[in-house]
Amino acid sequence: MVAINFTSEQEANQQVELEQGETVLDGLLRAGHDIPYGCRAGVCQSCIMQCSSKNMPSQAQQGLKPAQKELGYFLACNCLPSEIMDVSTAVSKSEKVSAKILEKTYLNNNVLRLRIDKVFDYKPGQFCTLWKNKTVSRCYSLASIPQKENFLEFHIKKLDKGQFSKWAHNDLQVGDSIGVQGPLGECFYSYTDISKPLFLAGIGTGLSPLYGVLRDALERGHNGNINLVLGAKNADDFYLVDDLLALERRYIQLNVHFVAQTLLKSDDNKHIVEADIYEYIHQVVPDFKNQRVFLCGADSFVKKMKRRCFMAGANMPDISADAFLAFNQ
Amino acid sequence: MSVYESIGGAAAVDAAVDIFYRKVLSDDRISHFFDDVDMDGMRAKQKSFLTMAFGGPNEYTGKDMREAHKHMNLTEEHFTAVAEALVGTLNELEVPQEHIDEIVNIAVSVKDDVLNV
Repeated sequence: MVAINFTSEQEANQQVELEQGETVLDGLLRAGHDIPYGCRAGVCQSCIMQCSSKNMPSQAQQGLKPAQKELGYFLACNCLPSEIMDVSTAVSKSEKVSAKILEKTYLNNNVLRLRIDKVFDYKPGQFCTLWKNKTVSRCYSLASIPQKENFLEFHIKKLDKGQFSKWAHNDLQVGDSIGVQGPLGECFYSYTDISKPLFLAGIGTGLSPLYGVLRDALERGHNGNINLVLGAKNADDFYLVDDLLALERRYIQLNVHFVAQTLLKSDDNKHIVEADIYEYIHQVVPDFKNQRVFLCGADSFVKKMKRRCFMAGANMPDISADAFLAFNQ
Repeated sequence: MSVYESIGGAAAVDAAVDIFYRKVLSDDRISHFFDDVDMDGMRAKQKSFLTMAFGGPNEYTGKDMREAHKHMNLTEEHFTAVAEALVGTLNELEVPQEHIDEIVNIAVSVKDDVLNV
């Protein structure tokens, strides 16, 4: 007889004894818990749940993305546990906590690097919600890496009417506290990615999650080829250029590409090319078969690239995308 | 044993879905229907469709099929294009012809609902 410990938003640690050959879904339903479900065959993923113990049968994760697997997601209808499991209804909502501002640095004319206390653990590339006050909040991706850095890092672009970004740029001071909630999202590097060719592409501050993902991959000993393609309107929209070039020199498997829509005659940046980013990417990576893909930035870019990468051979579970919603205020 | 079981169940659907979706998006007769859809959501729908076509467990009803395709003005040509993508996928995965025949029969059985005739 196997038992499961079940936690939902309403109740914590309810123990349910499973009968012989009974799935987690069937056991929970029999015990009167309200679990969403559909096909009961591991296809529709309606009954997705999260397991905090490390003893889940692999069958229960069939069809999930590597990132979901790493977060302990599984399908309750396909799960026949052989030992006790701690399970909860996905996705647990996190509490808002307070964190101190440690550093404010300008990375270029309009991108601010904000470093705050590391108030929780996370995977680089996931995102958080930052709160200006009780009503105004925005989501930002994590550019830091927890294994080396004792802070959370965000890249905040100043928008003309940005209620949050203008405040962060102009008013927020080192030593102030800010509300932070998270982390969320599945755009991060997984242990299964280690020797795959990696393709990272981003526009503007789409670099922030990619900077986290890239350094996480390198720290974890990624040995496949890596292409990082960054796009911007003009040469001076890029940031962290020197840091990225230093990484490129240090890691032979890494190639960094800066692609500007328009270069001025006065730009003397020999590492920046002027090109259409879609055409350029097609030249660099004509075939996306087996590539592990990360796409970050404006929604239109991410959507278009996702389709192009898929059509050029990437499989959908290997494409992680983080589309920034256009908040102009 | 059902066709679904004999070709490998959920794992067969996983193996087929990206190949199938890519064929659908490459076909000028139907690709425009997929221009503005969320790719992850559509992939989940394609998985449900393939599970149904493979004779696997599903909750598809004729009514759902009608409703989902109602305002798309689909014709015989569109249905043929999807059927070809399906057969092409199964050929690529080297599914035996007898199973392919059975799967095509299931797909054809929902044709009237899909075309709303």
